[in-house]
Amino acid sequence: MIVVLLIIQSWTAYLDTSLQYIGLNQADLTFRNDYTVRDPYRFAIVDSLLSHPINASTFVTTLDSIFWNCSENYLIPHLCSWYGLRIRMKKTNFEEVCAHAAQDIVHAFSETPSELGDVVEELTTFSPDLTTSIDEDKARERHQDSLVQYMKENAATVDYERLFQAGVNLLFAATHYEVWLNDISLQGPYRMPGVEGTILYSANYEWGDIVIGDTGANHYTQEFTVVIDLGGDDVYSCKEPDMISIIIDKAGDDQYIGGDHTIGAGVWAVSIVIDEQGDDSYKAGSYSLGCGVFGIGILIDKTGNDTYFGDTFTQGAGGFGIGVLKDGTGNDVYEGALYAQGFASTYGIGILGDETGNDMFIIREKYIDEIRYLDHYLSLSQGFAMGFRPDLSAGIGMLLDRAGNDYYLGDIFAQGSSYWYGIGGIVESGGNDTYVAYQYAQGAGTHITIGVLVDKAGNDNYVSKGVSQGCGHDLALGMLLDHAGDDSYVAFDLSQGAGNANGIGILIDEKGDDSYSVKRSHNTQGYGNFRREYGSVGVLIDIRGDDIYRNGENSCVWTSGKYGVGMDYE
Amino acid sequence: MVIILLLISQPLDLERLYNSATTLLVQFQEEQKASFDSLIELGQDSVYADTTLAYLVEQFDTKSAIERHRLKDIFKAIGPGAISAITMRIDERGKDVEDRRLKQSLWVLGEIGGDSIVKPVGRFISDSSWSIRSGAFTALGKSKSSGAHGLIIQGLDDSIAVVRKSAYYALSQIASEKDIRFLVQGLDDPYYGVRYAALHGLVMMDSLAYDALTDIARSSGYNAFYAIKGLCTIGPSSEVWGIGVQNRSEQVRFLVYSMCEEVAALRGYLEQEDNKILRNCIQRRIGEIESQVDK
Repeated sequence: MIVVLLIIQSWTAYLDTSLQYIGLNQADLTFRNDYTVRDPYRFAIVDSLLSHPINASTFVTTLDSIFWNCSENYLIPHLCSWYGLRIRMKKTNFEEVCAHAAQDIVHAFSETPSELGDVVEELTTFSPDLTTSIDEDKARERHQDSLVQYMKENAATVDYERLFQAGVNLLFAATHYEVWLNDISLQGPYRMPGVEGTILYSANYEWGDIVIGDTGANHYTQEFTVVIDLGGDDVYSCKEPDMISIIIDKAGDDQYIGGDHTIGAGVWAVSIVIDEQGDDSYKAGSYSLGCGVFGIGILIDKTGNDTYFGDTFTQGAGGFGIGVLKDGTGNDVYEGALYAQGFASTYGIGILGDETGNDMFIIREKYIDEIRYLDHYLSLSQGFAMGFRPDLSAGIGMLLDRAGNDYYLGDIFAQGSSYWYGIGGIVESGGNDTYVAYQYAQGAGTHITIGVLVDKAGNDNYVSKGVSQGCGHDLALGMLLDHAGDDSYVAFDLSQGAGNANGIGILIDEKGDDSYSVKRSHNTQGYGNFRREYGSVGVLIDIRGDDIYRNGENSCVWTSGKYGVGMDYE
Repeated sequence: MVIILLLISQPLDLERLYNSATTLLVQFQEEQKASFDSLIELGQDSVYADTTLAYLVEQFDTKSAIERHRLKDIFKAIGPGAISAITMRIDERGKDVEDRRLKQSLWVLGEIGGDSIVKPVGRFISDSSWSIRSGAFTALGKSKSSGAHGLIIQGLDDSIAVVRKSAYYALSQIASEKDIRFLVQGLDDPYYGVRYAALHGLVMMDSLAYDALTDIARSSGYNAFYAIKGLCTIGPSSEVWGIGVQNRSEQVRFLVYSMCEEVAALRGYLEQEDNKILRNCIQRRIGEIESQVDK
């Protein structure tokens, strides 16, 4: 923590000096948090960072530190604190925990209309087809507005404290299952319906059932409330959980296969998957793989080279809930289509963390961005937070990768970016990484929000087209901090420390021999335009190294318009 | 006119035109443009203007940002003929606490401009909502009406920085010599939006502000930066440059080097300048000027 603070101090001093070249100081870098009426689902930290946007990098790096240095049993209560909830673990017997959790979940939704689930899904479901008429589009807009109003009113009927309490307790029980295992008498091996291969234990309760598989290969064809498998290359044909779903797999190269609402899908539920060893594959549909929607969904894979495949709201995605996917060692591949890989919508926290290995994070082209292009696709992923403008704030979406040479592929809205009163971030702590996107990416904030990308080390490549690489649009912060390495930044326009429509765009590179390439020189590399009768602020700072620019040069300062500055200090 | 004649042959479907004019969908952009132009024509037509303008003003409460922008563009294109349709309903704030209708009205009136918006807009300079006050002052500035002066100066010491910015912006549009003292005060504001607006006002007054700016430039205060910036814009001269390069602040000296057009002077500054970064800037500037001369 002390080291992080020292790093922060050094570049902020350079920021202050650079701002003075355009007659500004850090106190000028601020937004109000009341441009619109505050909705009840906005996180207080978002308001705080809008007032002091420069602190955004500290926020994301602190979260990164907590994520990697604390156990999950500390992390989840910590995340709950952002909701203003104090959640404490209750350490009791596994079966008691499940019984109490089931009661808590029932009570959490006792006042909630059943239609709310359908409303949320309808709002977060896109069609891959083009809209065929303007009338259709307008009708859809009006209908969506009515759905948003319904969600706004009725999401407050959920007792989040009870719901998250259930999740925290179940997670503790799941991570300490061996204590319970030592206390019971295993019965098998024997066979039972719903499981291929032999099992060692089964029991039925009012709240569900428990099955313990042996060390051989098993195929779980039926959904059990709790599955503990002691080894072997297993197959899990996952179904949508009822209220509670826990899968703990000790070893083996396993396959997890399911459709929508499966595999760590805390959708009106708490769902936990912990896989301790092996090269595993996870294939699901939408609302999956560490997804929390009115629930908590956690997927932890501790070792192995793994693959994760999902569609929408997947791989560490949260909306009115918490979704976490944490992968330990191994070279992994993540593929989603939308709202994926550290994504958060309203009142949600979504985190994807990958500890080591050379990983690929891919958002495939499926949903056309038809209000901007016919040949580009919405990603809304990879450390991204999205609100329902103008009614509902976004949440906090983070993608954290600790080491390895990683590859990120997205298109529109991706890679440490955010839309409407949220926080989207990436923290990359090591390795030579490559980020490829098209627009609103790589530390971009769009419409009163915070988007941050921090890369701490490695020779990195950043490629995007526009509104990227430290770009803030419309009263938003977009920030890209690269601490070290010989890096390459490539963009077309409105990027690399660019502010537009009263946004703040900051790109700071601390060390290394870097190159900054753009096509359009007039609105890049330290650019801020005039809008609403005052400025947008754009800052590009390179502190050390032998660097190449389109607009500047080593040991030089340059300005673009009144509110843009670029500075190379060495 | 051709569009009107075509429309006369069919029932006037303003809703359809509006939906089409405000679509963002890429695949319908041709239709969007045609509908947009149609609404402008209808808004100016002697027969259809009242109905069209009433319909469009009714949409001011929309939550859609694209609709608000398109409405603004349509009304701006229609021009002063649309003002009365807006002011007739200016007391209507909107269907919820966001006051969208009123905000839109103020914005659009400002975009149209002119003396006739001053009175209806001026009623909102003391509104309890900071965003309404800001919108009112901005519109008064865009009116470019000297009749707004007495209203504008009431906003210069508003407690909210964004409102002060709008008031100073407004003053910058109509300022005369008697306003120099206000604008000079604005250079000391804690918020850069105010400082830049004040500077703009002083620059607009050209030689009238020269002495005031020179006094500030010679001082060691933070606002010397703005004064030098203003002087270099109004009338760059060796006197101005001389004041600037003697300033202790690297940022002030940079201003001079970046705006100086005389290579001989720049070469002289290069000999005096110790700061490595600023030396590079001077050399770069010399190179820029010489390459332009070569062209």
